[in-house]
Amino acid sequence: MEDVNNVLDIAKDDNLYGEVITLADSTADGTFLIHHFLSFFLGNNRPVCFVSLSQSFGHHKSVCQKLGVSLTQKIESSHLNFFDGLKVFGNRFLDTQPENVDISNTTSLQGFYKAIKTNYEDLQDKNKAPPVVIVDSLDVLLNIGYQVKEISAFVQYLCHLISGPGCDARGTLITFLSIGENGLDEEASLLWRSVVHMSNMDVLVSGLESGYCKDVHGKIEVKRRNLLKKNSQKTMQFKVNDKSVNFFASGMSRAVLG
Amino acid sequence: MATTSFQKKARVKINQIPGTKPSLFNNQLLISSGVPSLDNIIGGGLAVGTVCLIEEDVYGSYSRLLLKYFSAEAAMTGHSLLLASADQDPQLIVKELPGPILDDPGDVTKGNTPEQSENMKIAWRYQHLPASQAGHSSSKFGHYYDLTKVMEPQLISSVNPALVGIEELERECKECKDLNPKYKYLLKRIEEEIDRGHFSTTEQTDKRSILRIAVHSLGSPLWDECGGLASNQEDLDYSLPRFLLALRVLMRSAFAVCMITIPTHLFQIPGYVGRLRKMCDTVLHMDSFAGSDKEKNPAFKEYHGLFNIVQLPRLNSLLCHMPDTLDFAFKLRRKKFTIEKLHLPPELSETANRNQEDPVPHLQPSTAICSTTKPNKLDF
Repeated sequence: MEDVNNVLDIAKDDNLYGEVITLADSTADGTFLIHHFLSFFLGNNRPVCFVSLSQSFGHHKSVCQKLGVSLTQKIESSHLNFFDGLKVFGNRFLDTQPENVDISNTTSLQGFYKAIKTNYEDLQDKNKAPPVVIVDSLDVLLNIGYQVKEISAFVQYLCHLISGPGCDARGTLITFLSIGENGLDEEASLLWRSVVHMSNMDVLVSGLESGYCKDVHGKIEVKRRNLLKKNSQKTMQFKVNDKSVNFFASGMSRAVLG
Repeated sequence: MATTSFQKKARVKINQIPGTKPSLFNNQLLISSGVPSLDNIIGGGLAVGTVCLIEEDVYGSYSRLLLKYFSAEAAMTGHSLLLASADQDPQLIVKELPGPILDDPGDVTKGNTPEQSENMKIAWRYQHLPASQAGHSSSKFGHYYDLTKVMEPQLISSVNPALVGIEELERECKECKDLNPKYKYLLKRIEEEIDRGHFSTTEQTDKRSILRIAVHSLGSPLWDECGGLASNQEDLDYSLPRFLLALRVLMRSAFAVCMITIPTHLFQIPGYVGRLRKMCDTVLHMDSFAGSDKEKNPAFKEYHGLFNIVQLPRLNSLLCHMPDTLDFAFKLRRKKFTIEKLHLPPELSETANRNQEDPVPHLQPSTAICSTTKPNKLDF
């Protein structure tokens, strides 16, 4: 997955302290970015607090296994804290009385934030290093009825959390969001814009305008808000493989040229 | 004679559950959707633990057919079945399941036995291999069905399907703050069914089977759904995505596969269907030609509708199955329903008049031509 680092202008041993990164996808699938960041930080021995709202642990475990990181080992060595948000929020609508009702409260995300905060501080104490918070799919929160302002306030809280005291350096926040097709979903687009506003870097993965193609899966747009760096904007096309992602300039796919 | 090291590597665990096969891509356990041509294009079949959403065609007749195939496959493979519908009596759907075409593989293997007893002289290395893949015949993956026949009742009753109809939904549902009461009750029934048949992944059983859940026309007005709008027509109702999230949680921890059809063409809020899609794993869209202009279009005369793959699940891998194309067409023959690649027929007729050619006649000076003959292709 080194190619992804090249595209995002991230050095191999970059720590990305204090960065807030927003990942989004619309018509193509951008979840490979989450797995990239998860394996990247764990490979660099940064503690990670991973909040999964859209997929089960088994899925992430298998993918990271392919990328060379064992999540179960990382949990045992307390480098990783996996928060199974899918279960917590899903169980609220099932008959099983969940133990943590206040986390999945319908009206407020306070409880959810507090749960993440506890995990974050726990990781920080154990590792003596600022952790990374990765939230997989904010749009799940939107879908189950939380308002845009609540979710953006939640992200704001997380931004505050990673810049909090306790360590010399700041933590890192990475959020993922699916914004749906061509801005049809106004709420999701609004949420995306407000989250992007809080971030230093945003990455948008979208499908090709010409439609589906087996050999070019979509395009990726990277924007940085840091004006000191020169390449503040970049657009590439990509193809996801079994264990890696290939990037190429628009229209320069091997399938097109060959 | 010493055996050579050239032997087919036999896996120790071969298909312990009848009617399933591991995926070639990600080792996911797959089951057949009941339509082999559909299994082919979605990467082998439906993965266990996922939710498949079928966006209904306008009259819902073809999506109901897919649901019937899915249910019929349960009876053929011995899987358990839960069928829920508010629009139609589930009893009726079960009665109308298509009858299987049995090619009777038992006779074929019997015919082969005398040959097998002979010692092979040339291909002796293959001697210890079975002549054909016997043993799989009854529980093989994907069956063909004859739509002119219905399934025998005793075959259906052998799997003892659990049926949830509108009366039961109306009677049993209780007031619920967060969720549409009918969805809530359906979730409860699914949970009970998983418990009853020991389908949970945490439970150890000797005889593992798969639970197939078929939900017909979820989100139709009979489920008290207003297409995302709350009953006051102003606020949004999040019941359906909430239901799908809870369903995903249930599916992920069970040996179960759920197929839902939703009349998405009834939903008006922009982006709402997109959200529902994200909450499901496999999403297929059906668009029938019935009642539309496309029915008479010569380009589509071989087909009964269009079939699109909207989303395929990404499970245990970075990549999902990437088919060559996402656009297909379906046709319904007298006995069989198939999904094929969409091909336009060859243009043979001289008087072909396609829409693209329309602009050409406009270029001609209209005053000069008074005759009623059609413009010839050679005119310029």
